[in-house]
Amino acid sequence: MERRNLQPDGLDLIGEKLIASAVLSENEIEKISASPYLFKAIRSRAEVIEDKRFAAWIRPLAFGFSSVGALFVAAAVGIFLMSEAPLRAIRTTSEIRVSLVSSQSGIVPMRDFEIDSITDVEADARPASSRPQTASYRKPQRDRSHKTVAEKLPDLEFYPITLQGDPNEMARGGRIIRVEMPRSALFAMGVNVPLENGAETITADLLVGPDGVTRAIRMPNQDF
Amino acid sequence: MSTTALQDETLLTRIDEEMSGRHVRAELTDRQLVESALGGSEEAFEQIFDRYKRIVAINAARFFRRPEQIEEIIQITFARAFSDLTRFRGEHEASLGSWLTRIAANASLDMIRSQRRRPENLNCELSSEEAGTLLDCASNGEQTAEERLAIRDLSEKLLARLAEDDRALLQMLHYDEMSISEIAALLGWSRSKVKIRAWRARNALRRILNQYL
Repeated sequence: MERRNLQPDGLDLIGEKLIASAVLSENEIEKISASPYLFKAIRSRAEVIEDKRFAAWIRPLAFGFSSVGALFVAAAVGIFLMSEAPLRAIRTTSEIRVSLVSSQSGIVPMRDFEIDSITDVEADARPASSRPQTASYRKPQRDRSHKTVAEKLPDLEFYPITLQGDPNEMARGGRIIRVEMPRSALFAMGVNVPLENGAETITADLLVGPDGVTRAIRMPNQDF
Repeated sequence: MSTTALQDETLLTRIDEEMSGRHVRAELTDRQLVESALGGSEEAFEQIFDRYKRIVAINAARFFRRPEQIEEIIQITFARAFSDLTRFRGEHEASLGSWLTRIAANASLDMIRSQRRRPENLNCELSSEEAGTLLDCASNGEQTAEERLAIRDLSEKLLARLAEDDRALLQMLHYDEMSISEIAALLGWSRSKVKIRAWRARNALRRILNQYL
């Protein structure tokens, strides 16, 4: 075919005619728009659009609620974990209570007491309150040959054994007596110790009041 | 009494009988139909559909040629219109018809964009003989119905190489004889954008025609 070199204006004219010839006729338009199922299809599409819009609106709301719920859960967990402090406070309180009780019973920190000479008193199964009074009223005699316990007193706390008696008694002084006693005697005194090797002898410091009542006990260098 | 008068009386009586048991329906305005549709009347919306479906189809036919594509645009247009009918009430100074054609144009452009992401295989190669026939027929003044059908098929093959929006723009400019402002209002473009796009569409058509001439 012979190639025609047309000017742009000529090409434009041809193009416009081609476009005009390709336009759909009125009958074709009418046929397409007159489809009997068209309106039903439109209603279905409209419902789908409304559902999508509702979901788009509700999704961020649900996300927001779930985020708030997650925050609440995290806060509850955090509060629960932080609630260890009250437990610690309770434990501390119990310790304080012991020390308060001890102070009420007149138990004074060991260092304030002049320790009697170490007396090897063989404690028996009798309660401390029934122990011979002579030991408590013995005039303290410093036995220079023995090292005073005060020099070697460990930094341990006394555990109260009994809360009976006049708490003001301890205000008038007391004695710390280091004794060696069987482990079973400790249990008899009310100290909660394991009963294995009940005959084993242990060393204990007894805090005895002026009325002869043993108020507290401690076991230096003992692991239970 | 003349026969004509009797007939008139009968006619009047008949009209009265018709009107006695029925409500007289005057054609509702667009605004009334919209209000009624917003009130939940599906019949009102169907009347809107019947009134403007042809205009929407003509608008869609500027962008697409296949009947299923045009039907798709009609469905999308009226579905969106139904969902956004509250926006039309009191917010649009334009008429309901203009609003619907605007929705149809946007829906057509959206579909063109989505189709460009999924290009179709165009089996519309035009032989040189067909191109020559087409050009000869296009240059002739009068054509028979058969020639018009043949031209149309060949034109479709040729114009299938042109982008849909470019083709729609050229059709609006040269066949529908719409002004730049009207096209800008319909498509939501600026006037300068319409001019630039029209210039590009014309150049693209020239390049296609040059391949066969």
